[in-house]
Amino acid sequence: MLTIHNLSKNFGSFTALKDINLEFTNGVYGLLAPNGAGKTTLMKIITTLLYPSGGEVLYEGQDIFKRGEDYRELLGYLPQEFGYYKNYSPMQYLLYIAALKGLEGKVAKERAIELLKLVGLENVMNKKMKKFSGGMIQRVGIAQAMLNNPKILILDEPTAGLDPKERVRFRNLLTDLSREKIVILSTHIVSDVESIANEIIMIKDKEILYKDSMRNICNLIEGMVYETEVAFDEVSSFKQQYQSLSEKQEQGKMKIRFISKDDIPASTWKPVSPSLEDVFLNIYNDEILEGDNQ
Amino acid sequence: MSKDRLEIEYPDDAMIESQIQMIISQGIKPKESFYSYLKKMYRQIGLRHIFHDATEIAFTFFIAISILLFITIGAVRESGVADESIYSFIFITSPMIYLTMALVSFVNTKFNGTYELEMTFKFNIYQLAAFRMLIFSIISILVNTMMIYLVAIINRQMDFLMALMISTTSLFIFSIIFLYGMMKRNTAIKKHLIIGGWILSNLFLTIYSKEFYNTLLIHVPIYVYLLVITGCIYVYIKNLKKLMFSTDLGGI
Ligand SMILES: Nc1ncnc2c1ncn2[C@@H]1O[C@H](COP(=O)(O)OP(=O)(O)OP(=O)(O)O)[C@@H](O)[C@H]1O
Ligand SMILES: [Mg+2]
Repeated sequence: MLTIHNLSKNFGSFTALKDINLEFTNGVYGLLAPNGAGKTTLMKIITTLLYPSGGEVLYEGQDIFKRGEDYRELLGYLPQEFGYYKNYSPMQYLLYIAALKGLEGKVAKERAIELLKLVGLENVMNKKMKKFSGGMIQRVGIAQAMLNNPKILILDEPTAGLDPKERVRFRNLLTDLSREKIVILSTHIVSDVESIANEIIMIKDKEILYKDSMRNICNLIEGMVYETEVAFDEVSSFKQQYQSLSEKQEQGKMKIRFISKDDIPASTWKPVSPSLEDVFLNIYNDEILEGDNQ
Repeated sequence: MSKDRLEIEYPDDAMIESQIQMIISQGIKPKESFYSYLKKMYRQIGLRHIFHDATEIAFTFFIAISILLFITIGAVRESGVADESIYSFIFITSPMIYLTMALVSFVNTKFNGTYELEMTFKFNIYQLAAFRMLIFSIISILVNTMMIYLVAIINRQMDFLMALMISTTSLFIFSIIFLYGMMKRNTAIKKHLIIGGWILSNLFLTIYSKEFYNTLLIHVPIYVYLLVITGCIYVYIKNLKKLMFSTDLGGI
Protein backbone atom coordinates (compact mmCIF):
# COMPACT_ATOMS: atom_id res chain seq x y z
CA MET A 1 0.00 0.00 0.00
CA LEU A 2 1.20 3.45 -0.91
CA THR A 3 0.27 6.21 1.47
CA ILE A 4 0.66 9.93 1.00
CA HIS A 5 0.50 11.85 4.20
CA ASN A 6 0.01 15.62 4.55
CA LEU A 7 2.13 16.16 1.50
CA SER A 8 2.98 19.62 0.22
CA LYS A 9 5.32 20.91 -2.45
CA ASN A 10 6.55 24.43 -2.99
CA PHE A 11 8.74 25.76 -5.75
CA GLY A 12 10.25 28.79 -4.10
CA SER A 13 7.31 30.85 -2.91
CA PHE A 14 4.90 29.11 -5.30
CA THR A 15 2.77 26.35 -3.81
CA ALA A 16 2.13 23.55 -6.29
CA LEU A 17 0.50 21.07 -3.90
CA LYS A 18 -0.73 21.22 -0.33
CA ASP A 19 -2.43 18.98 2.24
CA ILE A 20 -2.40 15.94 0.01
CA ASN A 21 -3.58 12.76 1.70
CA LEU A 22 -4.04 9.69 -0.44
CA GLU A 23 -4.04 5.93 -0.14
CA PHE A 24 -3.40 3.57 -2.99
CA THR A 25 -4.06 -0.14 -2.98
CA ASN A 26 -3.86 -2.36 -6.05
CA GLY A 27 -5.90 -0.93 -8.88
CA VAL A 28 -5.88 1.72 -11.57
CA TYR A 29 -6.14 5.34 -10.49
CA GLY A 30 -6.75 8.15 -12.92
CA LEU A 31 -5.40 11.57 -11.98
CA LEU A 32 -7.72 13.92 -13.77
CA ALA A 33 -7.06 17.65 -13.64
CA PRO A 34 -6.46 20.53 -16.02
CA ASN A 35 -3.05 21.79 -17.15
CA GLY A 36 -0.84 23.06 -14.37
CA ALA A 37 -2.88 21.45 -11.59
CA GLY A 38 0.10 19.56 -10.22
CA LYS A 39 -0.31 16.07 -11.68
CA THR A 40 3.28 15.79 -12.85
CA THR A 41 4.54 17.26 -9.59
CA LEU A 42 2.66 14.65 -7.57
CA MET A 43 3.95 11.85 -9.78
CA LYS A 44 7.52 13.09 -9.58
CA ILE A 45 7.30 12.96 -5.80
CA ILE A 46 5.97 9.41 -5.89
CA THR A 47 8.86 8.42 -8.17
CA THR A 48 11.37 10.09 -5.77
CA LEU A 49 12.40 12.65 -8.39
CA LEU A 50 11.18 15.53 -6.27
CA TYR A 51 11.56 15.83 -2.56
CA PRO A 52 8.39 16.95 -0.78
CA SER A 53 8.42 20.29 1.03
CA GLY A 54 6.30 18.78 3.77
CA GLY A 55 4.67 15.47 4.66
CA GLU A 56 5.72 12.00 3.61
CA VAL A 57 5.14 9.19 1.17
CA LEU A 58 5.15 5.69 2.59
CA TYR A 59 5.22 2.35 0.86
CA GLU A 60 4.29 -0.51 3.16
CA GLY A 61 4.77 1.86 6.03
CA GLN A 62 8.30 2.94 5.15
CA ASP A 63 9.42 6.27 3.77
CA ILE A 64 10.10 5.86 0.06
CA PHE A 65 13.09 8.19 0.09
CA LYS A 66 14.70 6.21 2.89
CA ARG A 67 14.04 2.92 1.11
CA GLY A 68 15.86 4.21 -1.95
CA GLU A 69 16.97 1.38 -4.17
CA ASP A 70 14.56 -1.14 -2.64
CA TYR A 71 11.70 1.13 -3.55
CA ARG A 72 12.92 2.07 -7.02
CA GLU A 73 13.19 -1.60 -7.83
CA LEU A 74 9.39 -1.79 -7.62
CA LEU A 75 8.81 1.24 -9.75
CA GLY A 76 7.85 1.69 -13.39
CA TYR A 77 7.63 5.23 -14.69
CA LEU A 78 6.70 6.89 -17.92
CA PRO A 79 7.61 10.59 -17.73
CA GLN A 80 5.49 13.15 -19.49
CA GLU A 81 8.44 13.97 -21.67
CA PHE A 82 10.09 10.71 -22.47
CA GLY A 83 13.80 10.97 -23.27
CA TYR A 84 15.64 8.35 -25.27
CA TYR A 85 18.91 7.83 -27.09
CA LYS A 86 18.23 8.56 -30.72
CA ASN A 87 20.73 6.10 -32.13
CA TYR A 88 19.34 3.19 -30.18
CA SER A 89 16.80 0.74 -31.47
CA PRO A 90 13.87 0.00 -29.15
CA MET A 91 15.42 -3.37 -28.43
CA GLN A 92 18.80 -1.88 -27.47
CA TYR A 93 17.13 0.76 -25.36
CA LEU A 94 14.92 -1.70 -23.52
CA LEU A 95 17.88 -3.97 -22.82
CA TYR A 96 19.85 -1.03 -21.45
CA ILE A 97 16.98 -0.02 -19.18
CA ALA A 98 16.39 -3.60 -18.13
CA ALA A 99 20.02 -3.81 -17.01
CA LEU A 100 19.67 -0.64 -14.95
CA LYS A 101 16.50 -2.06 -13.45
CA GLY A 102 18.55 -5.05 -12.35
CA LEU A 103 17.02 -7.61 -14.71
CA GLU A 104 19.10 -10.56 -15.72
CA GLY A 105 20.20 -10.63 -19.37
CA LYS A 106 18.15 -13.58 -20.61
CA VAL A 107 15.00 -12.59 -18.75
CA ALA A 108 15.42 -9.05 -20.01
CA LYS A 109 15.53 -10.09 -23.62
CA GLU A 110 12.42 -12.25 -23.41
CA ARG A 111 10.54 -9.59 -21.56
CA ALA A 112 11.58 -6.87 -24.02
CA ILE A 113 10.42 -8.87 -27.01
CA GLU A 114 7.15 -9.71 -25.29
CA LEU A 115 6.46 -6.08 -24.45
CA LEU A 116 7.44 -4.79 -27.88
CA LYS A 117 4.91 -7.20 -29.31
CA LEU A 118 2.28 -6.01 -26.88
CA VAL A 119 2.75 -2.39 -27.95
CA GLY A 120 2.84 -3.37 -31.61
CA LEU A 121 6.46 -2.52 -32.35
CA GLU A 122 7.79 -5.98 -33.11
CA ASN A 123 8.39 -5.11 -36.76
CA VAL A 124 10.60 -2.14 -35.97
CA MET A 125 12.34 -3.35 -32.86
CA ASN A 126 15.76 -3.16 -34.47
CA LYS A 127 15.27 0.17 -36.27
CA LYS A 128 16.84 3.31 -34.87
CA MET A 129 14.42 5.35 -32.82
CA LYS A 130 15.36 8.66 -34.39
CA LYS A 131 13.13 7.71 -37.32
CA PHE A 132 10.16 6.98 -35.08
CA SER A 133 6.94 8.98 -34.88
CA GLY A 134 5.81 10.52 -31.61
CA GLY A 135 3.28 7.79 -31.01
CA MET A 136 5.85 5.07 -31.58
CA ILE A 137 8.24 6.66 -29.10
CA GLN A 138 5.42 6.86 -26.59
CA ARG A 139 4.84 3.14 -27.00
CA VAL A 140 8.51 2.41 -26.38
CA GLY A 141 8.04 4.48 -23.24
CA ILE A 142 5.07 2.42 -22.14
CA ALA A 143 7.00 -0.79 -22.76
CA GLN A 144 10.03 0.33 -20.73
CA ALA A 145 7.85 1.26 -17.76
CA MET A 146 6.57 -2.31 -17.57
CA LEU A 147 9.90 -4.09 -18.05
CA ASN A 148 10.48 -4.99 -14.42
CA ASN A 149 6.83 -5.94 -13.84
CA PRO A 150 6.58 -3.05 -11.39
CA LYS A 151 4.44 -3.06 -8.27
CA ILE A 152 3.90 0.65 -8.70
CA LEU A 153 3.35 1.89 -12.22
CA ILE A 154 3.30 5.65 -12.74
CA LEU A 155 2.26 6.85 -16.19
CA ASP A 156 2.28 10.56 -16.88
CA GLU A 157 -0.09 11.15 -19.79
CA PRO A 158 0.49 7.75 -21.37
CA THR A 159 -2.02 8.23 -24.17
CA ALA A 160 -0.68 11.57 -25.37
CA GLY A 161 0.14 11.24 -29.06
CA LEU A 162 -1.53 7.86 -29.53
CA ASP A 163 -4.07 7.37 -32.31
CA PRO A 164 -7.51 5.91 -31.44
CA LYS A 165 -6.45 2.40 -32.41
CA GLU A 166 -3.37 2.58 -30.21
CA ARG A 167 -5.40 4.01 -27.36
CA VAL A 168 -7.64 0.97 -27.41
CA ARG A 169 -4.59 -1.26 -27.53
CA PHE A 170 -3.11 0.62 -24.58
CA ARG A 171 -6.30 0.21 -22.52
CA ASN A 172 -6.38 -3.51 -23.14
CA LEU A 173 -2.71 -3.80 -22.36
CA LEU A 174 -3.17 -1.96 -19.11
CA THR A 175 -6.15 -4.05 -18.09
CA ASP A 176 -4.05 -7.16 -18.70
CA LEU A 177 -0.93 -5.95 -16.96
CA SER A 178 -2.40 -3.98 -14.09
CA ARG A 179 -3.41 -6.89 -11.92
CA GLU A 180 -1.78 -6.81 -8.49
CA LYS A 181 -0.24 -3.43 -9.06
CA ILE A 182 -0.82 0.13 -8.15
CA VAL A 183 -1.25 1.98 -11.41
CA ILE A 184 -1.47 5.76 -11.33
CA LEU A 185 -1.99 7.52 -14.62
CA SER A 186 -2.53 11.17 -15.29
CA THR A 187 -4.45 12.72 -18.09
CA HIS A 188 -6.69 15.58 -18.93
CA ILE A 189 -8.42 13.54 -21.58
CA VAL A 190 -11.58 12.45 -19.86
CA SER A 191 -12.43 9.54 -22.13
CA ASP A 192 -9.10 7.89 -21.30
CA VAL A 193 -9.70 7.47 -17.61
CA GLU A 194 -13.36 6.69 -18.08
CA SER A 195 -12.59 3.30 -19.51
CA ILE A 196 -9.39 2.43 -17.64
CA ALA A 197 -9.49 3.73 -14.10
CA ASN A 198 -11.20 2.11 -11.13
CA GLU A 199 -10.90 5.31 -9.20
CA ILE A 200 -10.57 8.90 -10.20
CA ILE A 201 -8.60 11.53 -8.37
CA MET A 202 -9.26 15.17 -9.05
CA ILE A 203 -6.99 17.99 -7.98
CA LYS A 204 -8.31 21.49 -7.58
CA ASP A 205 -6.70 24.54 -5.97
CA LYS A 206 -3.58 22.47 -5.20
CA GLU A 207 -5.59 20.02 -3.10
CA ILE A 208 -7.33 16.71 -3.66
CA LEU A 209 -10.95 17.44 -4.43
CA TYR A 210 -12.26 13.93 -5.02
CA LYS A 211 -10.97 10.40 -4.91
CA ASP A 212 -13.82 8.14 -5.82
CA SER A 213 -15.23 5.76 -8.39
CA MET A 214 -16.46 7.22 -11.64
CA ARG A 215 -20.04 6.30 -10.75
CA ASN A 216 -19.94 8.28 -7.51
CA ILE A 217 -18.26 11.23 -9.10
CA CYS A 218 -20.85 11.35 -11.86
CA ASN A 219 -23.58 11.12 -9.25
CA LEU A 220 -22.44 14.46 -7.89
CA ILE A 221 -24.37 16.20 -10.64
CA GLU A 222 -26.98 13.53 -11.23
CA GLY A 223 -30.27 15.14 -12.23
CA MET A 224 -28.66 18.43 -13.18
CA VAL A 225 -27.62 17.70 -16.75
CA TYR A 226 -30.02 18.32 -19.60
CA GLU A 227 -30.10 18.67 -23.32
CA THR A 228 -32.34 21.02 -25.21
CA GLU A 229 -32.67 22.85 -28.50
CA VAL A 230 -32.37 26.60 -28.59
CA ALA A 231 -32.90 29.00 -31.47
CA PHE A 232 -29.69 30.69 -32.60
CA ASP A 233 -30.67 34.17 -31.48
CA GLU A 234 -31.43 32.93 -27.97
CA VAL A 235 -28.21 31.01 -27.52
CA SER A 236 -26.17 33.74 -25.87
CA SER A 237 -28.83 34.68 -23.35
CA PHE A 238 -29.37 31.00 -22.58
CA LYS A 239 -25.68 30.48 -21.97
CA GLN A 240 -25.60 33.39 -19.57
CA GLN A 241 -28.25 31.72 -17.52
CA TYR A 242 -26.99 28.15 -17.58
CA GLN A 243 -23.58 26.60 -17.76
CA SER A 244 -23.19 25.07 -21.19
CA LEU A 245 -21.25 21.81 -21.46
CA SER A 246 -21.36 21.28 -25.18
CA GLU A 247 -23.06 22.69 -28.22
CA LYS A 248 -23.90 21.25 -31.58
CA GLN A 249 -25.71 22.66 -34.61
CA GLU A 250 -28.64 20.54 -35.66
CA GLN A 251 -31.30 21.35 -38.25
CA GLY A 252 -31.15 25.08 -37.96
CA LYS A 253 -31.11 25.05 -34.20
CA MET A 254 -28.49 24.74 -31.50
CA LYS A 255 -28.49 21.63 -29.40
CA ILE A 256 -27.05 22.46 -26.01
CA ARG A 257 -26.00 20.18 -23.17
CA PHE A 258 -25.98 22.14 -19.95
CA ILE A 259 -26.22 22.14 -16.19
CA SER A 260 -29.17 23.50 -14.33
CA LYS A 261 -29.69 23.46 -10.60
CA ASP A 262 -33.32 24.61 -10.94
CA ASP A 263 -35.77 22.41 -9.16
CA ILE A 264 -38.36 22.52 -11.90
CA PRO A 265 -36.91 21.86 -15.32
CA ALA A 266 -38.65 23.22 -18.39
CA SER A 267 -40.71 20.71 -20.33
CA THR A 268 -38.46 21.04 -23.40
CA TRP A 269 -35.40 19.94 -21.44
CA LYS A 270 -34.40 16.35 -21.79
CA PRO A 271 -32.67 14.99 -18.68
CA VAL A 272 -29.53 13.00 -19.47
CA SER A 273 -27.20 11.02 -17.26
CA PRO A 274 -24.01 12.91 -16.50
CA SER A 275 -20.68 11.85 -17.94
CA LEU A 276 -17.29 12.35 -16.36
CA GLU A 277 -16.64 15.09 -18.85
CA ASP A 278 -19.70 16.97 -17.58
CA VAL A 279 -18.34 16.77 -14.04
CA PHE A 280 -14.93 17.90 -15.19
CA LEU A 281 -16.34 20.91 -17.00
CA ASN A 282 -18.54 21.76 -14.06
CA ILE A 283 -15.76 21.50 -11.48
CA TYR A 284 -13.16 23.40 -13.41
CA ASN A 285 -15.59 25.88 -14.90
CA ASP A 286 -14.64 28.76 -12.61
CA GLU A 287 -11.01 28.17 -13.35
CA ILE A 288 -11.64 28.27 -17.08
CA LEU A 289 -13.65 31.46 -16.71
CA GLU A 290 -10.98 33.03 -14.52
CA GLY A 291 -8.42 32.09 -17.11
CA ASP A 292 -10.45 33.78 -19.81
CA ASN A 293 -10.75 37.00 -17.87
CA GLN A 294 -7.04 37.33 -17.24
CA MET B 1 -18.16 -2.03 25.43
CA SER B 2 -18.54 -5.77 25.64
CA LYS B 3 -17.00 -7.41 28.67
CA ASP B 4 -16.14 -10.79 27.21
CA ARG B 5 -13.01 -9.81 25.37
CA LEU B 6 -11.03 -12.34 23.42
CA GLU B 7 -8.34 -13.89 25.58
CA ILE B 8 -4.93 -13.59 24.02
CA GLU B 9 -2.05 -15.28 25.72
CA TYR B 10 0.80 -12.93 26.40
CA PRO B 11 3.89 -14.15 24.50
CA ASP B 12 6.86 -15.20 26.62
CA ASP B 13 10.18 -13.37 26.60
CA ALA B 14 11.92 -15.73 24.24
CA MET B 15 9.10 -15.38 21.77
CA ILE B 16 9.19 -11.57 21.99
CA GLU B 17 12.93 -11.58 21.59
CA SER B 18 12.84 -13.78 18.48
CA GLN B 19 10.07 -11.70 16.97
CA ILE B 20 12.02 -8.50 17.57
CA GLN B 21 15.10 -10.04 16.01
CA MET B 22 13.08 -11.02 12.96
CA ILE B 23 11.62 -7.57 12.55
CA ILE B 24 15.03 -5.98 12.91
CA SER B 25 16.72 -8.33 10.48
CA GLN B 26 14.01 -7.77 7.90
CA GLY B 27 13.75 -4.07 8.48
CA ILE B 28 17.42 -3.21 8.43
CA LYS B 29 19.41 -4.62 5.58
CA PRO B 30 23.11 -4.94 6.29
CA LYS B 31 24.90 -2.01 4.73
CA GLU B 32 26.84 -3.09 1.71
CA SER B 33 30.46 -2.13 1.36
CA PHE B 34 31.57 0.07 -1.49
CA TYR B 35 33.58 -2.69 -3.06
CA SER B 36 30.86 -5.32 -2.88
CA TYR B 37 28.39 -2.86 -4.33
CA LEU B 38 30.72 -2.15 -7.25
CA LYS B 39 30.99 -5.88 -7.82
CA LYS B 40 27.24 -6.22 -7.70
CA MET B 41 26.84 -3.48 -10.29
CA TYR B 42 29.46 -5.05 -12.49
CA ARG B 43 27.73 -8.42 -12.29
CA GLN B 44 24.16 -7.24 -12.60
CA ILE B 45 24.49 -4.43 -15.11
CA GLY B 46 27.65 -5.33 -16.98
CA LEU B 47 30.27 -3.01 -18.38
CA ARG B 48 28.51 -2.78 -21.71
CA HIS B 49 25.55 -1.04 -20.12
CA ILE B 50 27.44 0.88 -17.46
CA PHE B 51 29.47 2.41 -20.28
CA HIS B 52 26.63 2.44 -22.75
CA ASP B 53 27.99 5.65 -24.27
CA ALA B 54 31.48 4.19 -24.66
CA THR B 55 31.71 5.30 -28.29
CA GLU B 56 31.04 8.92 -27.43
CA ILE B 57 33.44 8.76 -24.51
CA ALA B 58 36.17 7.13 -26.59
CA PHE B 59 35.71 9.71 -29.31
CA THR B 60 36.01 12.62 -26.91
CA PHE B 61 38.83 10.86 -25.11
CA PHE B 62 40.96 10.67 -28.24
CA ILE B 63 40.28 14.25 -29.17
CA ALA B 64 41.24 15.34 -25.66
CA ILE B 65 44.41 13.24 -25.72
CA SER B 66 45.43 14.58 -29.12
CA ILE B 67 44.98 18.16 -27.98
CA LEU B 68 46.81 17.47 -24.76
CA LEU B 69 49.69 15.76 -26.54
CA PHE B 70 49.91 18.61 -28.98
CA ILE B 71 50.03 21.19 -26.20
CA THR B 72 52.43 19.11 -24.13
CA ILE B 73 54.93 18.66 -26.93
CA GLY B 74 54.72 22.37 -27.66
CA ALA B 75 55.22 23.22 -24.02
CA VAL B 76 58.15 20.86 -23.61
CA ARG B 77 59.84 22.22 -26.71
CA GLU B 78 59.36 25.78 -25.63
CA SER B 79 60.47 25.45 -22.06
CA GLY B 80 64.23 25.48 -21.79
CA VAL B 81 66.22 22.77 -20.11
CA ALA B 82 66.16 24.31 -16.69
CA ASP B 83 62.66 25.65 -16.91
CA GLU B 84 60.54 24.20 -14.16
CA SER B 85 57.24 25.45 -15.47
CA ILE B 86 56.64 21.99 -16.87
CA TYR B 87 55.51 21.01 -13.36
CA SER B 88 52.83 23.62 -13.14
CA PHE B 89 51.80 22.67 -16.63
CA ILE B 90 51.37 19.09 -15.48
CA PHE B 91 49.45 20.24 -12.44
CA ILE B 92 46.96 22.16 -14.55
CA THR B 93 46.45 19.63 -17.33
CA SER B 94 46.36 16.38 -15.36
CA PRO B 95 42.63 16.46 -14.56
CA MET B 96 41.64 17.29 -18.13
CA ILE B 97 41.21 13.72 -19.37
CA TYR B 98 39.12 12.94 -16.34
CA LEU B 99 37.08 16.08 -16.80
CA THR B 100 36.27 15.42 -20.45
CA MET B 101 35.19 11.85 -19.79
CA ALA B 102 33.03 12.81 -16.85
CA LEU B 103 31.44 15.68 -18.73
CA VAL B 104 30.54 13.61 -21.79
CA SER B 105 28.25 11.38 -19.77
CA PHE B 106 26.46 14.30 -18.15
CA VAL B 107 26.06 16.19 -21.37
CA ASN B 108 24.79 13.05 -23.03
CA THR B 109 22.10 12.41 -20.45
CA LYS B 110 21.11 16.03 -20.35
CA PHE B 111 20.99 16.38 -24.09
CA ASN B 112 18.81 13.32 -24.57
CA GLY B 113 16.51 14.23 -21.70
CA THR B 114 16.85 10.81 -20.10
CA TYR B 115 17.76 12.16 -16.68
CA GLU B 116 14.29 11.89 -15.17
CA LEU B 117 13.77 8.35 -16.29
CA GLU B 118 17.22 7.13 -15.35
CA MET B 119 16.91 8.61 -11.87
CA THR B 120 14.04 6.26 -11.10
CA PHE B 121 15.79 2.99 -11.93
CA LYS B 122 17.07 0.56 -9.34
CA PHE B 123 20.59 1.60 -10.30
CA ASN B 124 20.16 5.29 -10.84
CA ILE B 125 22.34 7.96 -12.39
CA TYR B 126 24.26 8.67 -9.20
CA GLN B 127 25.20 5.07 -8.62
CA LEU B 128 26.29 4.69 -12.21
CA ALA B 129 28.20 7.95 -12.00
CA ALA B 130 30.09 6.74 -8.94
CA PHE B 131 31.13 3.57 -10.74
CA ARG B 132 32.07 5.41 -13.89
CA MET B 133 34.02 8.14 -12.16
CA LEU B 134 36.10 5.60 -10.35
CA ILE B 135 36.99 3.96 -13.67
CA PHE B 136 37.65 7.37 -15.21
CA SER B 137 40.12 8.17 -12.43
CA ILE B 138 41.97 4.93 -13.04
CA ILE B 139 42.12 5.57 -16.79
CA SER B 140 43.28 9.10 -16.10
CA ILE B 141 46.10 7.97 -13.87
CA LEU B 142 47.27 5.51 -16.51
CA VAL B 143 47.09 8.05 -19.33
CA ASN B 144 48.80 10.74 -17.27
CA THR B 145 51.57 8.37 -16.28
CA MET B 146 52.19 7.48 -19.90
CA MET B 147 52.23 11.10 -20.94
CA ILE B 148 54.65 12.02 -18.19
CA TYR B 149 56.84 9.10 -19.17
CA LEU B 150 56.85 10.39 -22.73
CA VAL B 151 57.76 13.89 -21.59
CA ALA B 152 60.48 12.50 -19.36
CA ILE B 153 62.09 10.86 -22.38
CA ILE B 154 62.17 14.12 -24.29
CA ASN B 155 63.03 16.32 -21.34
CA ARG B 156 65.70 14.51 -19.34
CA GLN B 157 65.82 17.31 -16.83
CA MET B 158 62.39 16.48 -15.52
CA ASP B 159 62.07 14.27 -12.49
CA PHE B 160 59.65 11.50 -13.45
CA LEU B 161 58.64 10.57 -9.92
CA MET B 162 58.09 14.17 -8.91
CA ALA B 163 56.02 14.80 -12.01
CA LEU B 164 53.94 11.71 -11.33
CA MET B 165 53.25 12.83 -7.77
CA ILE B 166 52.23 16.28 -8.90
CA SER B 167 49.98 14.86 -11.59
CA THR B 168 48.22 12.40 -9.31
CA THR B 169 47.76 14.92 -6.54
CA SER B 170 46.25 17.34 -8.99
CA LEU B 171 43.93 14.71 -10.42
CA PHE B 172 42.50 13.74 -7.06
CA ILE B 173 42.16 17.26 -5.75
CA PHE B 174 40.24 18.11 -8.88
CA SER B 175 38.12 14.95 -8.69
CA ILE B 176 37.09 15.85 -5.17
CA ILE B 177 36.14 19.36 -6.20
CA PHE B 178 34.25 18.02 -9.19
CA LEU B 179 32.38 15.48 -7.12
CA TYR B 180 31.53 18.12 -4.58
CA GLY B 181 30.13 20.34 -7.32
CA MET B 182 28.04 17.49 -8.59
CA MET B 183 26.65 16.29 -5.30
CA LYS B 184 25.60 19.52 -3.77
CA ARG B 185 22.46 20.59 -5.48
CA ASN B 186 24.32 23.34 -7.18
CA THR B 187 23.06 25.39 -10.04
CA ALA B 188 24.58 24.90 -13.46
CA ILE B 189 26.40 28.20 -13.16
CA LYS B 190 28.03 27.15 -9.93
CA LYS B 191 29.14 23.90 -11.53
CA HIS B 192 30.73 25.73 -14.45
CA LEU B 193 32.40 28.06 -11.99
CA ILE B 194 33.91 25.13 -10.15
CA ILE B 195 35.49 23.73 -13.30
CA GLY B 196 36.42 27.06 -14.85
CA GLY B 197 37.69 28.17 -11.45
CA TRP B 198 40.24 25.39 -11.41
CA ILE B 199 41.80 26.39 -14.69
CA LEU B 200 41.57 30.12 -14.02
CA SER B 201 43.02 30.04 -10.52
CA ASN B 202 45.88 27.84 -11.69
CA LEU B 203 46.55 30.04 -14.69
CA PHE B 204 46.42 33.07 -12.46
CA LEU B 205 48.96 31.54 -10.13
CA THR B 206 51.31 30.61 -12.97
CA ILE B 207 51.14 33.98 -14.60
CA TYR B 208 51.07 36.11 -11.51
CA SER B 209 53.82 34.41 -9.59
CA LYS B 210 55.30 31.71 -11.69
CA GLU B 211 58.41 31.45 -9.57
CA PHE B 212 56.55 30.91 -6.38
CA TYR B 213 54.15 28.43 -7.86
CA ASN B 214 56.82 26.30 -9.47
CA THR B 215 59.04 26.38 -6.42
CA LEU B 216 56.12 25.39 -4.27
CA LEU B 217 55.34 22.40 -6.47
CA ILE B 218 58.93 21.24 -6.63
CA HIS B 219 59.90 21.78 -3.04
CA VAL B 220 57.14 19.80 -1.54
CA PRO B 221 58.85 16.55 -0.60
CA ILE B 222 57.66 13.33 -2.20
CA TYR B 223 56.37 11.91 1.08
CA VAL B 224 54.13 14.94 1.54
CA TYR B 225 52.74 14.33 -1.91
CA LEU B 226 52.15 10.73 -0.99
CA LEU B 227 50.36 11.81 2.15
CA VAL B 228 48.22 14.29 0.27
CA ILE B 229 47.40 11.72 -2.40
CA THR B 230 46.41 9.14 0.20
CA GLY B 231 44.25 11.67 1.97
CA CYS B 232 42.64 12.73 -1.28
CA ILE B 233 41.92 9.17 -2.38
CA TYR B 234 40.32 8.53 0.99
CA VAL B 235 38.06 11.57 0.71
CA TYR B 236 37.33 10.79 -2.93
CA ILE B 237 36.23 7.23 -2.26
CA LYS B 238 34.24 8.39 0.73
CA ASN B 239 32.39 10.86 -1.46
CA LEU B 240 31.83 8.31 -4.18
CA LYS B 241 30.35 6.08 -1.52
CA LYS B 242 28.09 8.87 -0.42
CA LEU B 243 27.05 9.42 -4.00
CA MET B 244 26.32 5.74 -4.39
CA PHE B 245 24.33 5.17 -1.23
CA SER B 246 22.68 8.52 -0.82
CA THR B 247 18.92 8.38 -0.73
CA ASP B 248 18.04 12.02 -0.64
CA LEU B 249 20.04 13.43 -3.53
CA GLY B 250 17.25 12.76 -5.97
CA GLY B 251 14.93 15.55 -5.03
CA ILE B 252 15.02 19.26 -5.52
N1 LIG C 1 10.50 23.01 -11.28
C1 LIG C 1 9.49 23.88 -11.13
N2 LIG C 1 9.74 25.14 -10.71
C2 LIG C 1 8.73 26.02 -10.54
N3 LIG C 1 7.45 25.76 -10.76
C3 LIG C 1 7.13 24.53 -11.19
C4 LIG C 1 8.13 23.52 -11.39
N4 LIG C 1 7.52 22.40 -11.82
C5 LIG C 1 6.21 22.69 -11.87
N5 LIG C 1 5.95 23.97 -11.51
C6 LIG C 1 4.64 24.60 -11.40
O1 LIG C 1 3.78 23.77 -10.65
C7 LIG C 1 2.49 23.75 -11.20
C8 LIG C 1 2.07 22.33 -11.48
O2 LIG C 1 2.84 21.82 -12.56
P1 LIG C 1 2.66 20.34 -13.10
O3 LIG C 1 3.67 20.13 -14.16
O4 LIG C 1 2.69 19.40 -11.95
O5 LIG C 1 1.20 20.37 -13.74
P2 LIG C 1 0.43 19.24 -14.55
O6 LIG C 1 -0.84 19.00 -13.83
O7 LIG C 1 1.32 18.10 -14.77
O8 LIG C 1 0.14 19.99 -15.93
P3 LIG C 1 0.05 19.40 -17.42
O9 LIG C 1 -1.32 18.84 -17.57
O10 LIG C 1 0.24 20.58 -18.28
O11 LIG C 1 1.13 18.40 -17.57
C9 LIG C 1 2.54 24.63 -12.45
O12 LIG C 1 1.99 25.89 -12.12
C10 LIG C 1 3.99 24.75 -12.76
O13 LIG C 1 4.27 26.01 -13.32
MG1 LIG D 1 2.08 17.18 -16.39
